[in-house]
Amino acid sequence: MRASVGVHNLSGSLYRTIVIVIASSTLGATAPDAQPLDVRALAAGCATCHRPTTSVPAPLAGKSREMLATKLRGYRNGSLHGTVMPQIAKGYTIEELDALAGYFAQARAR
Amino acid sequence: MTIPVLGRRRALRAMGTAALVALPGSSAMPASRTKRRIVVIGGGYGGATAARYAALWGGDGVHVTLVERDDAFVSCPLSNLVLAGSRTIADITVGYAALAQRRVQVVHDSAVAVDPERRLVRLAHGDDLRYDRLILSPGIDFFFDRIAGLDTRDARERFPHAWRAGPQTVSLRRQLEAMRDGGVFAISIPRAPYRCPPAPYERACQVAWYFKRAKPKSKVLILDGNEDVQSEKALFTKAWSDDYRGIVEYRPDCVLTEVDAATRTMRFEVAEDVTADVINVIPPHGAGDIARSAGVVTANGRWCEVHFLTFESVKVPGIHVLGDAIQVAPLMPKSGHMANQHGKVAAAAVLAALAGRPVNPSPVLNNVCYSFIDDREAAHIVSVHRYDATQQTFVSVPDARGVSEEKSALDGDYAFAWARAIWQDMLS
Repeated sequence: MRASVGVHNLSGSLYRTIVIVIASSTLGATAPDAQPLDVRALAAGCATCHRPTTSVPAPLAGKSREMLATKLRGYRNGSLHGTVMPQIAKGYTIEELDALAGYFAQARAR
Repeated sequence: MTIPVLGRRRALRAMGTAALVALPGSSAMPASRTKRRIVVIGGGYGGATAARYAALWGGDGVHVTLVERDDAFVSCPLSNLVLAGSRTIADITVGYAALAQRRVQVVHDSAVAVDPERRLVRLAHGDDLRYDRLILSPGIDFFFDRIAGLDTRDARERFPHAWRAGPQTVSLRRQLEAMRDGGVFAISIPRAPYRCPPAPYERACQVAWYFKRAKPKSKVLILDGNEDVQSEKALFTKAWSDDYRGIVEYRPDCVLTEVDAATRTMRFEVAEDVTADVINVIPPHGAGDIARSAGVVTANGRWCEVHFLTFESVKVPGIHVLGDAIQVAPLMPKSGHMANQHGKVAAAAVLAALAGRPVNPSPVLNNVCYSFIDDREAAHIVSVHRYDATQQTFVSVPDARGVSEEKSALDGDYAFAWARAIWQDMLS
């Protein structure tokens, strides 16, 4: 069960990057292109479909971190329905989904 | 991520936001050092993505060159709709010009040889390219010699594969247009693994859609070299028995051994001969030929084995291979979306290696493929693949796999949106 995955399973590097994302979104100081490469690479996985300039699927850049995190967690725990996101979200840890929410909240909307 | 980077960021944050504008860490490499050279061979879903992201993330520290023989990118995904006539080849063609604005030098030439010792790429026309890291995304080349009768250029044009989108897509469409009503279109599928598992079955649907409207007495004959439908079986068999009843016939275990151009006859290992009006032969295939020159084809003389954390060849240091050319991890499809995901992991790993930094220890890949049943309704198949340090490969997450229960216009809309988005992600 992926639901059992917790912080203890996180790699050291990713844990550090998440700490940075949480810290930087709290301070609101770090632009997305200054974020660690691991988080940028994780977020790039979403950019295959989610572009800042197209309306379908929904652009993520500049949306509220809380809203994004709630939606991603909802897809993951089955409370939110969709076409492909309910499956995709289950492939990521909660910590990764929260890191992604933090990244896209900081990203520039166009 | 290294501790000094953390320390520097903290220090800069303490100094205030103004200092962040000049933060050298916004690039993966310090600007003061000589630019490191990344050469990417192949501007498809994998290579164009790797080039774009290496330039984006590497910033001033790297010089990225993309070697691509064609003037424009033509997408395999959606190319079956061109065969059906609901889309044109122009609809699935995108130029490379925008990549130059991303600091990717695009060289339209053919890479003819790789010298891993001297770290050089030899081009058909231009000067040799020196690299610090080579990213090889060569796509596929075909083993025409496995099928008797395909030994001449004329035969290969008469029985096109159209398994690389482009001129053969157009010529196969022309053959379908010229075919008499009441004729037979036969598609020969090679044994797995092959590029894009659902695509032959989508192609059968698309040609059937065209026949149903334009040539209703005609037939589509699927001659599968495998023992069963390789992807989304329930969806496709339902389409053939409902939407395309009387048009599509599926025959398993048909391993093609010969085509006879004079009589348009197909011969198989054990199945009965078939005569058809339009014959689409997808020959067995493996990594693109340039991979052979680079010495990175290591699995059955066909595919390239890689270290999955970095996509570096298991055999030749400094060469990273991605896309359809690799020996895939379990349940990892050979798809354009997957190649795009490989490209990002490889780009990040190459930059980390050049900077002497540790690579991301836990990369994640996602995959979404859409198959069109008609001109607007489609279905999806989705999966997520996580790197497993113990097994040293990507593992498909069981809860994260799924397929559409049925075709829908919503999936069709998302499929067209997917194409627009991914083309932007790799080429804008």
